[in-house]
Amino acid sequence: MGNNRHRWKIQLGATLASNPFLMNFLHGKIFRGGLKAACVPGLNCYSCPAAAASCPIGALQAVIGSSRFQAAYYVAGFLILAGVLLGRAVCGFLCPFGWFQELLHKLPTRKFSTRRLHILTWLKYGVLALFVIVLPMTIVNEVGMGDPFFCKYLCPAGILEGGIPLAFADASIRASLGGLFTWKSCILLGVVTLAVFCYRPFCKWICPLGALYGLFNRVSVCRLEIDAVKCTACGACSQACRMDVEVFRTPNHSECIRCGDCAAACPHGAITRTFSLKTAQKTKETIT
Amino acid sequence: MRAETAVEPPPWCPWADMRKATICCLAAALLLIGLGLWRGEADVVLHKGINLCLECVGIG
Repeated sequence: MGNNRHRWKIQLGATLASNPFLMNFLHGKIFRGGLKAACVPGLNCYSCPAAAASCPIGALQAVIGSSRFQAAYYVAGFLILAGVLLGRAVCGFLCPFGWFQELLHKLPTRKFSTRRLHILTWLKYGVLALFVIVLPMTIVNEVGMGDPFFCKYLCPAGILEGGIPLAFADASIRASLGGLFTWKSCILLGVVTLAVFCYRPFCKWICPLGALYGLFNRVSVCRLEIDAVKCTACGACSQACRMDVEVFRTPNHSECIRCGDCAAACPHGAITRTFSLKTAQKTKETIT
Repeated sequence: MRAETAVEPPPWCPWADMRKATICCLAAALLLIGLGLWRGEADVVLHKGINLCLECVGIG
């Protein structure tokens, strides 16, 4: 039986570990140490004053869009490593923006199911392919540098963690804000509003990082296993799953964020989270 | 009398493939990280990270 009562503690710890320099919010400056050469696993803007390391999606675009490189082996390798080890458990445990949406969802309002909008989950793969990879690589300026299109036009985390706090603390930044800030603030407002009523809408429909990690869910070391003997296919797990996964059919679906709600809901204790490279052992009944 | 015995997955079994895929992906990841570090991509990431990302914060 899964126990996910303590997940919020891991999420809080991961958020603070990703953003330890809280005093920088008051000073209106960002951390400029060597740790920024490394990436955190979750979506956390490197222009957040408190951020200790770089956002993997921002870093990916920065290298792809640079004039020196076309392929981003270092960041891609990091993303594959995190994906193979954890899959979308990163989303469920380590991503500050994912946790932010969960906190918003706790507000006492009517909640809406997103099961019928499952087709929208394919949108994030388009965002990954187009805004994170193709556009920074192909639309370049005179010196061969491309813009980070996802960060620039879509990412609400940058506005939440960087734009708004820096605008409060620094008058020169405040004076520089224009139409792009307004556009991204509208996106942030939309995500915030949706997150109150629907569970993790950005994670489900837009996040390119979730799209990437989801590709590794089926091969990741961190996985769910269904005990075929105990499972009665009652569907309690699927009812409990807020990421709209039919857990008993596809326990390692690309949408699963390993939150453990399914394991907690299973009346037969048939679902376990494992962290192992060992092949799941199958058994057969023999008559002796 | 009925008993449960362990079944060795045949070579074509998806379970066996999955674990090989995991190990291959891990190896590929480490190789890519090493290659990227050797090429100097970490410097690009560092340079981007220590300077305020105007696009990210909505200045453009």
